[in-house]
Amino acid sequence: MRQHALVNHRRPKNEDRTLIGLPVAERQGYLQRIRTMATSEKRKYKVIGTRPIRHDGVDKVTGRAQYGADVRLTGMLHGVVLRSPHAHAKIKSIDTSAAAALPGVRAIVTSADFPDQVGRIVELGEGAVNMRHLSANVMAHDKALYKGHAVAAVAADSIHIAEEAAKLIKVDYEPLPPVMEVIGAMRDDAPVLNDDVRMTEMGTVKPDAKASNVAAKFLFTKGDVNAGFAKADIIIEREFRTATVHQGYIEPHNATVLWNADGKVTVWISTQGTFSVRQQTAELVGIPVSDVKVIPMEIGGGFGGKISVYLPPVAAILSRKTGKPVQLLMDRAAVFEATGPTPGSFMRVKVGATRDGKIVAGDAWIAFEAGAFPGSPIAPGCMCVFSCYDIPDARVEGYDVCVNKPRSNAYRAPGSTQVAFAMETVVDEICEKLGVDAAEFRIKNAAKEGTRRVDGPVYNRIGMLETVEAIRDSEHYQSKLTGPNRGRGIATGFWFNAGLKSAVVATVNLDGTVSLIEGSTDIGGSRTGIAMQLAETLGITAEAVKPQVADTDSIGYTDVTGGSRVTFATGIAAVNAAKEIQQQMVERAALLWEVDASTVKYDDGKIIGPASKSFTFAELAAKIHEVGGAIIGHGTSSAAEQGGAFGTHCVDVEVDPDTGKVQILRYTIAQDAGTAIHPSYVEGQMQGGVVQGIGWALNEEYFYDDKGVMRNATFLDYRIPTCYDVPMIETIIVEVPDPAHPYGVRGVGEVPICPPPAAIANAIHAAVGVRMRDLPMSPPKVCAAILQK
Amino acid sequence: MRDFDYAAPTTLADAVTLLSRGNGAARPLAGGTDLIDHVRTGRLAPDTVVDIKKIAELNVLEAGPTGLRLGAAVPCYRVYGHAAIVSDYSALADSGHIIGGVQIQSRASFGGNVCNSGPAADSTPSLIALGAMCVIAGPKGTREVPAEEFCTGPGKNVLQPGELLVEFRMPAPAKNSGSHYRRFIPRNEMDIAVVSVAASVTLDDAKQKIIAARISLGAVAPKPLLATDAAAVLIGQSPTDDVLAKAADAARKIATPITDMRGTAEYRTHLVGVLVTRVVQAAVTRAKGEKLDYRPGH
Amino acid sequence: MCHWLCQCLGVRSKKDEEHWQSQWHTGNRERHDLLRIMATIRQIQKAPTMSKKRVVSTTINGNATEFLCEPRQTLLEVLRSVLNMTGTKEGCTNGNCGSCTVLLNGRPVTSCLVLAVEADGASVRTIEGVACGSHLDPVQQCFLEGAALQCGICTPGFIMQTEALLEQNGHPTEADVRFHLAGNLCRCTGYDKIVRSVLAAAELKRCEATT
Repeated sequence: MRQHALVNHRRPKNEDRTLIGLPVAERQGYLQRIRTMATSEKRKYKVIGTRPIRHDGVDKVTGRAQYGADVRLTGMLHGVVLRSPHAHAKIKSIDTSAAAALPGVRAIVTSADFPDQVGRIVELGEGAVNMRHLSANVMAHDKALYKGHAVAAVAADSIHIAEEAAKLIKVDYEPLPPVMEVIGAMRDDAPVLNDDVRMTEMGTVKPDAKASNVAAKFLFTKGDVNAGFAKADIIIEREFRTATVHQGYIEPHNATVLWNADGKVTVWISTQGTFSVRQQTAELVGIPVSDVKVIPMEIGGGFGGKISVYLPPVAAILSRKTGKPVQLLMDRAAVFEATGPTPGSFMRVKVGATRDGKIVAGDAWIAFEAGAFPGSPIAPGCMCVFSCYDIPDARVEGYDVCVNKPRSNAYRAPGSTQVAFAMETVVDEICEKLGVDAAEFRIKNAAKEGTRRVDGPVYNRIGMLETVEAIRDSEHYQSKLTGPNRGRGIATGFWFNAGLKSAVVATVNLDGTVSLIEGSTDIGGSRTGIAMQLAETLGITAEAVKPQVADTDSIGYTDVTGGSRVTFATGIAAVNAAKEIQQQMVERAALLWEVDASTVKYDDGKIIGPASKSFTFAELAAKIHEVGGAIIGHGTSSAAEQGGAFGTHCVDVEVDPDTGKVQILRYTIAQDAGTAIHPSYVEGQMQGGVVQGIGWALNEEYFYDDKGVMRNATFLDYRIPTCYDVPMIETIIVEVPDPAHPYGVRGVGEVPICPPPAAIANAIHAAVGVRMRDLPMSPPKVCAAILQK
Repeated sequence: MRDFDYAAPTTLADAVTLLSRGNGAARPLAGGTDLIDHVRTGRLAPDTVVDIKKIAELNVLEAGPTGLRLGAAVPCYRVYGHAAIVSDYSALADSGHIIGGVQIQSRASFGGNVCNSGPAADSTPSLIALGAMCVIAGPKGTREVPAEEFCTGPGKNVLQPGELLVEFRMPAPAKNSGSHYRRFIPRNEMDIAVVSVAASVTLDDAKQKIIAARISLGAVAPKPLLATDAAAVLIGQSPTDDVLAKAADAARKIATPITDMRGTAEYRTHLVGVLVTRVVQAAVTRAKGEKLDYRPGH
Repeated sequence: MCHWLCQCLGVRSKKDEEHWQSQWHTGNRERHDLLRIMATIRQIQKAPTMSKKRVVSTTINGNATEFLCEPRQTLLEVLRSVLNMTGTKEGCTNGNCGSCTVLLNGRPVTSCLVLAVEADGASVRTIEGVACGSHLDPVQQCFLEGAALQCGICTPGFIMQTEALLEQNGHPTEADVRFHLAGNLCRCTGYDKIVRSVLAAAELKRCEATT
């Protein structure tokens, strides 16, 4: 166990013992036990692959870390958003007079306070958005399009006064019939949500198109799908449905905004992307981007749901009206009813294979619920459905469809989990019918380097095959599963992983440490992953790097923490910054030694000159001011594109045949991480993704009544898994380095959520012989399927 | 949250006076785990909240030869932490152990759970199965109501304005008796019962035949039910599969569940039979003095 | 005395009520004075902060602490917004996520479902009181070493709930840990590393107790 500077290792009375009261040797034993070492420790790198304590860890275990809701400013007002009780209604009038008269109320806003937006499309990093729709989502204009849609907001001296004032706002609604289901919404006679939405087909609108709930159609083809199916000995075609589900982060959305008298706006917020919040806020309130500064607070989970803005523009206008900082916090019901979710879907998947187990053709028809405004992840869904396999002839058709639910947002591999559920269940059925091993079938058909995906791109080096092999060879898959009503299933999944833009600045301190400033907000320990890459490149320890996430005025443009991109892209930026530091260190050493810089080289944390001259990093750092100013390295990444990530999962379940309830007995995930920078947090992403996937598979869903009102907008009835619902999640980190990253990193955050619903469906089939094609596979549905058998 | 006043009387008389005054606008606060949420969401709008936890009578917890006295404000953790309850009134411990999470169990009381009168309340079926009497204090004095008659509908019960539930009294268990409570929920914890069943059985000296039984059903009617016919099926019988199936059938007949987000009427009716079978078997296991292999939620 | 008047006058006991009634019945007020007072009372009743603030005396993390609060303020709200102790987090406001777990007289409770006035005379332990000075508690240390957190928003609640568990059960099994922590939701970790860290902390606490 390496000693490190982050934690005080000494007790006051027991100087010969470590902090936790144990001799070092014993202590090592504990630490070994609490760290699952799924991969053998490699020593290719000094820092990469080790498990240092995260730099923000002590703050987070002591309650000192400051999240968005922890902001306390002098004179701060508290706001409440009034939300529509109707799923679909015209807003005829809003009377705020009674609320304004309540003592303690300082300001009220409605959509009338926001500037008009043109229907411009803006890319937010993990999905594009139409600004007029975003504005109407932040504050309903003439229509409320879902239960929970914001219609007005109040700022007052206390949260209680604001709540009472919100109740005094009189909104005259004309309720309209709600459109709650994707296939119904596509019908010609369905009520239309947005009169400005016309169907685009691969980006263009037909001139004669009328207003419709179908916002977009996508079509991807590869080869000749009819010819492909003609070669098949077996064809399986099945229909699937998945329910609307939420990201379910534990921290509700928040924003604290000060609109200063000089016109400058400061936003304190928990967000996945400060620059995205800056842009959205500036545009929605109609001021220049540079007038907005966004200060990232710690963020309590996002999973894609904390990219789009909801509160900052509202708090900004309230602050402008009052001249005071205004804090808006959502409650849990608002989080469920007005943010997230990921789309419910209808899918039809048809796959043909030969008798010897080769997939020859695939055809998919997919419709996603976009929610109130266009923008579901239908395109990635279409691209992902056949992404794990080398299929010669394929065709995918997809639709983005508006319904009276909250506007859908990215959720961990957006669109991929739905389609993996469909595709991997069909693949399992083919394996069953052909009598072939599910792992061997996948190995035989695996996408690999050179395989062209249905939407066009050709894969670089990828690790699909290796993850299936890792599962096939695992102790879990090789073990015998015994007992009644038990079954085992496997499934694979894919996610692209994004590159996009990142910036870092690193400054050498005289004590040999390096201060690292980055723009990527840290949701799950990425600060440490970035710092480790800088440390590796400089040949110093992870603890010698002091990472910090900076506000939008203090660092260069950085895209959102999403798309599994941060450890990859911000990592590249850190490596580039380290290289700049290396160069400057070499130059300083040359000046100190009075030699030509070309005779000095940087090697593994040492600066080596001619005639056995050398400095350690720390030695030279102490002297840099003798021959110059500060040494600052800058790094950006922009063009690098990731190679994509794959994972294969294996699950054992036990089904209660009398109740239909499914228990997860054992779970193993094998995933290609490229190169695992901090294995503990790679495992953590894998385990967390799996458990979210288990929730999606078994119990999570938006339960609506016939008026379009969500009946389960609490953590009691929206049932995310508790620790009592799941076993330990065994992890196998597969490392097939991504050539696009200097250390081979692949993003690991998203793909682990994709396979669980399919793997569990396949396991349920193995246990009790029923095929589940409707998510969630909740007890009543499984029970009904068993009784119908 | 809506504004209200707060009082914490230390005597039963003061509590009754405070509750009487408000004409229904005063609400008693025991664990607060439902009340505070209901006030926050606007389902309840009390002018005064009367904290009853400082009243000695509501905190009584005594098991003796004459039976069990369980104060209405006793939190769940004291119930399942009480050795005599675990051994002799096991269904109560089963209930207390699964109401909310451990944090909720630090505060939530059986009295509060019963007074909220939810059809799916986890404590009510156990109290019914164990033959509990509810002791009620009010402006006109004290009265007793059997647990199965306490609730009258969803959120409704026999309490009149100013009345306060003080304690539950249960008879001492007979020799060779055992009880169990179980619910069906989609998760393994932190959920509301889709269907719940409590049963208490007494075996003959040979521990073969059932000589007394009470079965109660939750979440299948506007209020928790005493399943008299289902229990009657068991009397004089060994708990064979056939007998249990008949008891399950009888229980299903009185179930009139609704369809909601927690389950359809058909599914709930189906579950009644499943749970009656399992719960009676478990109660018999305990009545025989054997250890019950049971993990909540599984 | 009618209910609303009792409330407006701050009548909380029979004694209070007798006092006010005696004031009126002795006739020492002019009728219009009484009407004026009652009108004022009605205004107060309409104003948002009708109930008087209470002084609550507690011991928080070992320190005697007094605060003023309205009856409707929860312990969570007072900790975070009155006392500026923001280590206790808010996740759901209805007792279903465990983020706001604190120990009230040694028992774990969701502080969003406790009225602050109920804490009068009680001892409260929060995440801010777990570390001993600058020295972390074994639970904190194991969470840190075991990578038991990702975003960290649920961590204070998990640590408090773990403290409560280990206080009463020094040898928990994995099943014990999972049952005891079921009231705490984490959406990031999949719980694996949390459960392992709790088991490690139990072991560490046992070792500390014997050394």
